[in-house]
Amino acid sequence: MLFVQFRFLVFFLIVFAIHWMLRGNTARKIWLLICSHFFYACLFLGGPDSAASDAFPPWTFYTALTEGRPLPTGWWFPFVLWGSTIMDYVVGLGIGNANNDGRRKAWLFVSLAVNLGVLAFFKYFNWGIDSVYAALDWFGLHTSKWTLAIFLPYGISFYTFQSMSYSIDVYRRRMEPVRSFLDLAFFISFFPQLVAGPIVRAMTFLPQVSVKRVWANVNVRACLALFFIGFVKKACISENVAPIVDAYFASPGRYDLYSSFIGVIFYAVQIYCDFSGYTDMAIACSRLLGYELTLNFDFPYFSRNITEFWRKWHISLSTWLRDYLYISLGGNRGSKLFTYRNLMITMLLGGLWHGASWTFVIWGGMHGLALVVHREWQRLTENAGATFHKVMSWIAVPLTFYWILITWVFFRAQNVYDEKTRELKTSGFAIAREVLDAICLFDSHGPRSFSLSCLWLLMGLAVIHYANSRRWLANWWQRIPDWAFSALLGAGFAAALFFVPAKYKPFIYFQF
Amino acid sequence: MNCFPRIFRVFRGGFCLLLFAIAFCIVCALIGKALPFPEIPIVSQKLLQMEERHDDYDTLFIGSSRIHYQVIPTLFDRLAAEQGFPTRSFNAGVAGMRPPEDGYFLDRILQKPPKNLRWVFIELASIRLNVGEEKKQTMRAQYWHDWPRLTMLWRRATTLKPVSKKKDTWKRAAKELAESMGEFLDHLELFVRHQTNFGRGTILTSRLLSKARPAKPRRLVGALGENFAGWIPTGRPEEMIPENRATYDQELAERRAQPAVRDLADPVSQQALETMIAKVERLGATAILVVPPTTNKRNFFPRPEREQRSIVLDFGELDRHPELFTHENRLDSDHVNTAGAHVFTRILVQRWVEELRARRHPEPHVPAPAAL
Repeated sequence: MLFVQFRFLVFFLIVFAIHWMLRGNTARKIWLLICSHFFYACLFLGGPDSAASDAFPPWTFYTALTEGRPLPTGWWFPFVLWGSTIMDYVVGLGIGNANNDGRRKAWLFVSLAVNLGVLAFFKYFNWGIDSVYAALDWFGLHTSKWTLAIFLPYGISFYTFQSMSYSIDVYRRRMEPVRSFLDLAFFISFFPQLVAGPIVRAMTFLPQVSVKRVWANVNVRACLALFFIGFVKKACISENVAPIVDAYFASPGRYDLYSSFIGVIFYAVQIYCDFSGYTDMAIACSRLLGYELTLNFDFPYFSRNITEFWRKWHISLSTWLRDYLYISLGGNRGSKLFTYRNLMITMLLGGLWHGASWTFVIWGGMHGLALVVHREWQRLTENAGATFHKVMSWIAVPLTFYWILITWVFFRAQNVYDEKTRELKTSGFAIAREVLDAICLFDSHGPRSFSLSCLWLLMGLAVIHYANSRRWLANWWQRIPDWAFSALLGAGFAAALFFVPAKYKPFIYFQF
Repeated sequence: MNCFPRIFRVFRGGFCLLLFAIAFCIVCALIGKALPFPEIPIVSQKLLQMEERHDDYDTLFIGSSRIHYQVIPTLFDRLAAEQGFPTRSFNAGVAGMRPPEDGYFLDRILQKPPKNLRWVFIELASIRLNVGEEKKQTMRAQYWHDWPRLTMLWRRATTLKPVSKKKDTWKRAAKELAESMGEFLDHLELFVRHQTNFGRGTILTSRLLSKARPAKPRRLVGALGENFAGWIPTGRPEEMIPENRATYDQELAERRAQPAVRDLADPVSQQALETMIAKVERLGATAILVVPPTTNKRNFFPRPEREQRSIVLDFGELDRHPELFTHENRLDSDHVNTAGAHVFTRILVQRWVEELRARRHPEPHVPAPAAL
């Protein structure tokens, strides 16, 4: 069940109606907790990209149990979620009740070890084994391979970070431990942000949970507009450029230079629209239920430098990494080299968080390197003249965007495996090298080419995006009367559905 | 900001919702009107052929793969002419087409009524609610979901099998109803997708962004076969694969021991059939109902009163047409191969002519019941 599917609309309308009909705050939280687990169950039954995901979970379990059939793949995913929640609840109380720093540290260590251990096992175990075997192979020590058939529980990267943020904040005495288990379970499993974020902090969300939500505070018009924007981004833009991106990255060497740039820029468009579209819809759904989620994107492609980019891209992750990793490592409270080391470690681990692949590590490393270079550049040019800064302000945005494009190549270029034998067909590095030859060395002479319409589409999207970033389109819809807004929204949704592909791709960030 | 009179303010939410719905429906309808029929393999080509040549044909065959791959119109015309019944036939069968899709398909064909239409062969099949996992997100599953078809599916979903006096009756009924409702929800989603022109714009965007231009339906003549008559071979190996052969032999032995049951299925399937027959008869043509040569346990039949009035050709009888069930003529339990298609067409003509002669056709048509 994805946000862009018809069945999500039915699901959400039921959740929404009953949520606001319930009088008590506890009843509402219990209701939303049940709904969140139902939503999660709809995903893990067969997965987000499987047609089986529309099965009715209780019924699937019941029939599987009564008819002696095997339980659906990932039936145990909720136990991991509950395990993480229970553990952090106990840890929170433990830290709160501990009477000395040693005990507090010990409780925190339990939380970090378990959360990171679970994450490492499910996400990185096979990758680690693969890497060790590859290294042994390189040294000429050929051994037989031994990996586990591990399924990655959906949303594990997001909810472990959320629950860790709770333990760390309680440890740092930024918040009191939660006494109500319901509150913590609700916070961790709240369905709009459960599977792909934004990564909500306990400090910002738990205070909302304890206070009864008021319908009068919900800005319905803004929520609907935000949901519509997210829907258009994901279903109309990201899904429609995806075939071009897939075609290009399947065989980049077969395309000419123009098409290589189109392929890579379209990927930048796809991932932005996919993820920010999801976030917009998540925030809108959450606001309609009375809860505020963290802002996750702020027009990142118009950033003038890489530091600014990370203040605007996946904000909930970058601030999490800053507050809980970078600062914990010592931040910039030391020598220059110490700061740069911390930056690199943070970004390398940030890259690794996205997926168990060396291409993600390189992606993170490139961003870390760019952050270091930018700091040095700032230091070297702080006394430069006004003309220099004016010239730089003109080229800063395209230069930053160009660097981001180069890094996206590693993000997108994943290993390609044979569908039947599961053997490696093309390595991600080979794909990345071909793409980089094209966009960095301008060396691409393949016979295939994309239509010139791609360029016009790209320019159109850029203009709309720029107008939005300047807030030119931000307020007009708030000034029109209700009846006009309703009619316009109805017409807008009708037009948007026309451009939605018959088959959806799951959200890119679901895999993380 | 708010320009409503006071009386409207009370119902502002509802009024806005209504406006939203009206605007949504209007834009969907406008887009739908402006769009051509979607490009669906075989379906589009056959409809286009009928649209362009609707007056050329006097005989139509409607049904699933058991018609599409098994009735050869050119052979049918030749054999019928030899028997003194000259025809010009078109095979409008499409693989996987069952009620109520066939009803919609027939409606589309009859939108421009063929002036010379005299015979319409309809494969007998009951309504199945299951869409099939692999088809759910396809335009093929979506295109026929209009309001009459949806109401038909709803009635089918809410029609339970007769209750027996077994202990677990309520459990079975509840399970059946839950399954039917789940399947109906799939159809409801397809209905919404159809009415909202879901995914139709992606064809435009893919054309806009890709240099390759897709072939126009009329150019896909391969789909219409020899003489554009609508028949093509299955494209599968002509011999039965071992797994199919084992199943087939087992089913054949079972049918020899116990012939197929005449299944009246449910009232909704019967009504769907009556509706199709009524539409055909309204044009002055005659519907001929065909039970294809399969080894099914149950074969859908029309109600006795309909069977008396119409020609029903049952090819599920093993003893009457043993040549349709020999290994060399079959692909599997449900289908014959190309050689079998020749045999089947020949027998079809023979049985049809026998019936016509027995009934001294053309007879005056029985008017359709008013309720239909």
